[in-house]
Amino acid sequence: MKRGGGIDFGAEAAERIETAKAVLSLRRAPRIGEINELFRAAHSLKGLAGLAELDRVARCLHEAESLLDSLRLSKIEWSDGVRRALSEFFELLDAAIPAVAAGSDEGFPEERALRLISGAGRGGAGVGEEPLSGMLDLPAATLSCLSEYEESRLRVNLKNGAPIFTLDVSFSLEDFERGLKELGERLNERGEWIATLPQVSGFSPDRLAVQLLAALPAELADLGEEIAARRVSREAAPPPGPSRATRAAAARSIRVETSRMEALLSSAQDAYAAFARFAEAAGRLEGALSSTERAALAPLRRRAELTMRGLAREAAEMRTAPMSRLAERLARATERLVRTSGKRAVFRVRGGDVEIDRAIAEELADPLLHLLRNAIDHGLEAPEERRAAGKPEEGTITLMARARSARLLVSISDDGRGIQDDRVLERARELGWIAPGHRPQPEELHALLFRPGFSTAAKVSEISGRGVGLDLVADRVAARGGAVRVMSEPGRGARFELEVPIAAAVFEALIVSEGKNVYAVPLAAVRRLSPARPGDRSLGGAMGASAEESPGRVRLELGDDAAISVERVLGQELVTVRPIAGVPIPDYVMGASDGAERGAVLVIDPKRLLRPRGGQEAA
Amino acid sequence: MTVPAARELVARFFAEPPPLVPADLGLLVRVAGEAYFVPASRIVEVVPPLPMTPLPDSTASAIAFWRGSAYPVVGDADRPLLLLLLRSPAGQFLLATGGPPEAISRERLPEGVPDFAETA
Repeated sequence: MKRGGGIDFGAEAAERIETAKAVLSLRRAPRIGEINELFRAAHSLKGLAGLAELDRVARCLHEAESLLDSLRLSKIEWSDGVRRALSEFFELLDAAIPAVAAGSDEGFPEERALRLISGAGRGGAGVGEEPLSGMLDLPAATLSCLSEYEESRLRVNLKNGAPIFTLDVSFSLEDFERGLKELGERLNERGEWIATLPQVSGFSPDRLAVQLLAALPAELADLGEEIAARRVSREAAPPPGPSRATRAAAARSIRVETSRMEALLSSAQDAYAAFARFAEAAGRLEGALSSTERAALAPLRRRAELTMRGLAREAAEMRTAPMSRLAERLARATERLVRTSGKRAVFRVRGGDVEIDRAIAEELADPLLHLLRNAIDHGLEAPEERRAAGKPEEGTITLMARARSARLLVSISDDGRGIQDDRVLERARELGWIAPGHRPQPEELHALLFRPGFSTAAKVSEISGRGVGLDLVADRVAARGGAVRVMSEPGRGARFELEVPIAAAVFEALIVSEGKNVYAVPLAAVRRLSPARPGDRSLGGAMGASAEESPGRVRLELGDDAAISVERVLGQELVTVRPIAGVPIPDYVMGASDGAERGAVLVIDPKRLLRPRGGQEAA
Repeated sequence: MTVPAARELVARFFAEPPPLVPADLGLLVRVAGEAYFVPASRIVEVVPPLPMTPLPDSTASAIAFWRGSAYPVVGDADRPLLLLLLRSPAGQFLLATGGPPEAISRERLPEGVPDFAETA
């Protein structure tokens, strides 16, 4: 079904409903961030329904959005009744999607849905309206700066007995964004970062100071000496502890935050690496033991090694998935969007076998979906327009993934009309971002696409209400330490490339040596080992080090007649490869593994090393 | 690509940004026999000597592990006296200096001493 600018309500709504249902399936009261997620889901769904002219659905979603707004502002309290009502409401919506997507929402049970929402809205009382000035030692001017949401979070935390602190912090101008974000994450781990207030003092030439308002446990020792914390809430009785039933429900919960899972997986891999080094050192000492002692030790060591290796392997497998999984999801979305757009397009995938971190895949899914929609809505031309331009009627959208050093590059490209620079310029001038008479370079112009406020204002008739703009695509990628690049050629198409660092990769590698240095070569890159032949390039020589021809060198056969020699093969290990950033490094260095006393073990891509080089360094 | 939060905040609360004065503090370091200024705002940490793996033909002359992360090492990696963990737009890296550093303000910097640039 295509309505109002090519929106496929069914496909779009399914994702938002899935998000809402995931939060509602928690066996505990959702945290504020999760209520915000629910609110955003309802808000986006309402926008989509409005755009698709589904008035009944939109009316109900408006009520659901109001209910969730009251919950996030703590005007009403979360309860099992609210959960049941919202769960049933989203189930109704989910069940209605096929019929709605077929063209009309006439069959949608509007009355029942509205009854559910209004019933839930009559829930328990909120957190009260007593003046905050009586509870907090803060100037009235400061309190007057707070938004309704911030006030409500203060009230909730005060009601729960959480001490409120002001934290005076400053960051260098160049590090402000990252520093503030990192501190915010730390605060949210321990309590809740409620508001950021301007500071009228504390500035230095290169530092910007702000005051944060946060609810935190009384112990603040770990926040660091540079942070001046002051308790501003009056002493209150400690909050009642969780009931036995609540504790039991929490114990049954299996939902784990991604960051914690990532930390656990990293620890598992580090534990294996540490054990491997320990086993190597212990092996050297075994010579001093008697044969009986050695015999007793051997099975224990083998068992420990197998367990640790299994743990690291499980962790590696849990951590990554082939790109093709995400690609399948995007292919289904493309099919639906193309079908309803009146255009014709084929979706191609290159690099589907590239293994990517699941957390990264999850982070990239929404940005990539947004780029896909853009490619279909704005990039690809209608069949007749393509025919007139001498192009095949069927356009091509390509998802490409490749790992470069310790970074993952994923791009969405199309062979459509390219970015229409004149339209971008016109809109930028309307917004006052470009001075009259100034004609910016394409890169400067394309960067404006990612500025907050550009897409929403410029495309209000086409994609507003979707909840994600290009600015959020860039923000989501930047939050992962990555960047977005745009390439466009008028009449030929556009490519949006997302580049993100890979947290860590784990794979089996051959550990080899060249002189005093130890390197790792992915086992998957090596077909077989054989004695080195005259004329084989040495690994050290190919890297630019002075190569010594020593007898007994080993040839690593890489396939396609390519081979490289090394002085010795020390063994095979499961290595945890960390990315290297900071300055450009040669692109044949995939990363480094911690070799403890032998230093960083560089992980080498041998085929890339053998390629002719020149400007090969990758940032 | 997005307006940095710092700039937004300044624009929101001040008619004019706070005045900047040339009083930056930093370290005067020696790398490959040359003197450079490293602003304090770039320094994350002073790091003890570490085992290093050389990386020939590269901006980074070596790679080292510190606190579980791998960092490129720039400068006198073969005979470092001091390692400084520095910020760069692309992440962080270790600067290996070949002489004792001197704390100094930019105002008192000898003429002609440039800021250290890792890509130079």
